[in-house]
Amino acid sequence: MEEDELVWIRRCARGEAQACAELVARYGRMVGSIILRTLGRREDVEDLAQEVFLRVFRYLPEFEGRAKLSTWICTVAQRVAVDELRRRQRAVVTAPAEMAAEVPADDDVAHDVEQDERDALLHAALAGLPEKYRLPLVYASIEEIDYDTIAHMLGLPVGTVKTYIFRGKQQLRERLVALAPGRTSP
Amino acid sequence: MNSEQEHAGTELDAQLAQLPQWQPPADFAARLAAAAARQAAEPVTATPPSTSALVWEGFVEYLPLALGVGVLALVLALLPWTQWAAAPVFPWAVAGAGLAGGLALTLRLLRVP
Repeated sequence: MEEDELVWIRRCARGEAQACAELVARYGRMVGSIILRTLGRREDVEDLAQEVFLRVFRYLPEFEGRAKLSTWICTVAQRVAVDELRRRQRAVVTAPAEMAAEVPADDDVAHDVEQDERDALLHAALAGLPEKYRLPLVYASIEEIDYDTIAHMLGLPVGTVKTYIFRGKQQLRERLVALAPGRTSP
Repeated sequence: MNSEQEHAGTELDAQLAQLPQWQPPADFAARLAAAAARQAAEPVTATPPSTSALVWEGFVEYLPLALGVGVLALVLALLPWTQWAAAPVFPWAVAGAGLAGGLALTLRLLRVP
């Protein structure tokens, strides 16, 4: 770990507002995206992201630096999100409709109906995937997260994560074809 | 892999990359920083439990377990093991139970995400 990061972590652990705000600004989007993609619903993301950061601040003094700070924060976020998912397993069942509503709407641009349909199909197909394939697959599409981080988050070897992502994509393609037989791709 | 499959794979990757990301509200970092400062300022007030409280807690927690183990041991001791062990089906029953246990454990481990 770099000296600058260590100093920054110590400042956060002491509760220095500016350092904490910097940490939230740097990792907030990533943490929220992990929660959003784990749960498939936007409603609770902000509350859970707050919980993640409060846990991070509380346990920062115990952070030993064996993993990267970002990896550690991702792991905390993933655990909080999965705990929530376990508490309401039914959220996964209702995910297709709710995730379809997550497609960003832009009032200034005319909606591409075909694109919306494709997104809704993708969300429906994703919601139907087994959790062990769905989670690595959706985490892998978050910009800031690499395979090593996903492996750390899920407590799996990197090779297994790659296999799950590969199989997840295969199953996703099959589900997409099953949901919309007329489409030729993806 | 043919070119059609490659194209489908690329398109799927592109779609996955467009899954919604979360954008924190404008005041999110400031609110959390304030909460973190409050959290750091909170004194640790919890007092460690006394030894007698710990002993009593352990006693209450483990008493039913200890009683259950005692009763089970008594029941097992009263069973006609010698007679059963002499039966020709006994080794098969033991092997079957072991196999079923092993299979159940393996399936359980495979289901862990």
